[in-house]
Amino acid sequence: MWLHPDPNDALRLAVQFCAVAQIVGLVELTLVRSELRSGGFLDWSMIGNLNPWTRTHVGSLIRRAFRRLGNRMFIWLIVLNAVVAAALLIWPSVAGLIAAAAALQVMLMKRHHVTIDGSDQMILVVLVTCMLGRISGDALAIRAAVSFLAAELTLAYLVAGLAKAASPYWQSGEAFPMIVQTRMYGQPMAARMVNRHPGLGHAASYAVFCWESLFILALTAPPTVVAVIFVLGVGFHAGCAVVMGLNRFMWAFVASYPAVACTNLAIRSALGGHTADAVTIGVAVVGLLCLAFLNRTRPSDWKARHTTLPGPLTG
Amino acid sequence: MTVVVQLPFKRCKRIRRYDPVGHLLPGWNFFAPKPLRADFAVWYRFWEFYDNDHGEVLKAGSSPWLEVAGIEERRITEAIVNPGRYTRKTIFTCCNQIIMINRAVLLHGKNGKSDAPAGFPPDAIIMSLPYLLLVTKVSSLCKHAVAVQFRIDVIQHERETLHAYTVFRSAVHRVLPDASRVGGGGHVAAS
Repeated sequence: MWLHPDPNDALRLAVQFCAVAQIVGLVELTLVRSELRSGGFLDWSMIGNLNPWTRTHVGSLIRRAFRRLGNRMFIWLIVLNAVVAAALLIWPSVAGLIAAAAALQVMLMKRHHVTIDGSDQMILVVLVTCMLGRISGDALAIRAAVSFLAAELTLAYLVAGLAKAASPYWQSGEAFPMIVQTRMYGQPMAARMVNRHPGLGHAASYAVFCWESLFILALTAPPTVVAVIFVLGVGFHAGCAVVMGLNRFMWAFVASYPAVACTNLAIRSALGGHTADAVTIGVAVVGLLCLAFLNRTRPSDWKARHTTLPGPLTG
Repeated sequence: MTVVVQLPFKRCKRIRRYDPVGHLLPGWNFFAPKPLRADFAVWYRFWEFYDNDHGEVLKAGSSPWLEVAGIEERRITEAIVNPGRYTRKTIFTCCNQIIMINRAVLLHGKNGKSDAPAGFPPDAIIMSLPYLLLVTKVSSLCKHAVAVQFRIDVIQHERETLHAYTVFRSAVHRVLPDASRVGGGGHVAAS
């Protein structure tokens, strides 16, 4: 089913994965509920002190509405979010439930704007897309939603990969060791391993941006290659969860893997197996050449050119 | 629109004005082009008594510097459920923003525009949300204090050695008594 899902299954799995991600987030919020009180990092009387005007008129209305939301009402909405997310695990095709989950996700993101990350954004994009696909329920809308999810995920990985490939930190292999040594996104055991075996850090840096940049091949590659790409992806996100604490990224991003598999099936059916394989090989070659070219453009004095960290306080 | 907004040009980012909720056109360049290169640590100290009748405190009368808890070593179980991410992310975001505002204000000062440069009111840092959030948090940690102060340290990691240095120190803030406390208070005369 994972490699040959139909569009309905792809949307269903996407919603269920996002529901799990939301439940995990709500469990985490419950465990740090003391931060919601006065003086805590999530105290709305503090973090709600924002300019009431945002870039869009609708955004301004949403922000001003949330400013009026008291703590008690917010707690009830969190409970409602948990109920909706649990319901989505059982009934993932109900447009109304998906819409409620998306609206509550927006609520959480607006309320905790200091702490949102990429997984929150991906969850929202996936839920809104699935909601739009399910509203009319016809095959065309579902197919469009699945294609959009596949495109969005591919774009996310491609942008992440190319941004890293063009960065001298990642090209030199120093990025991964830098990250794992921090307390914010690092892990002491991983940091020790990387310090004792510098080659490991270099290999990890290269592996990450190569895999991300070439994930696009999953749209046209044969099923075996797609399976390998997916396994590497799950492994990548599992590694990020263990080493960097990015636990919800696994659910938010892997949610769209069935959509990618579904789109792959459609593309290979339309092009024919041989043409699709030729396209895959062509894109792979072009991709690897681009990555090699970007690597060669790293200036030798890149460390001196880049903005330094803030200097120590004087006086 | 999603593709256009990824491009590294200001004009392309303007498309976000059409995003009604502000989160449907995210940027996907995680940890790039610059990865995380250092940590932030927030330290605080407090005073339990005033040193005179004018509500002043002496530097020597403070507690030792204590670190705001939240960025401890991560446990393996946090690969599944990670409640600590709220504190970590908040500390990181607040420190990052305070340093950026401080840097911008200092840069304007160095360029000879020290008299209230456009866009930077005199209390730009002290009235910013991240600063207020940190001072409120620190105040809530010091239940019986009359004044608090916090500082932001950058911790650089090189191999297995740490280099930590202070990049920002707040004003000393009076803390309201427990019963009437809502959040951080005004200034005390720092000695």
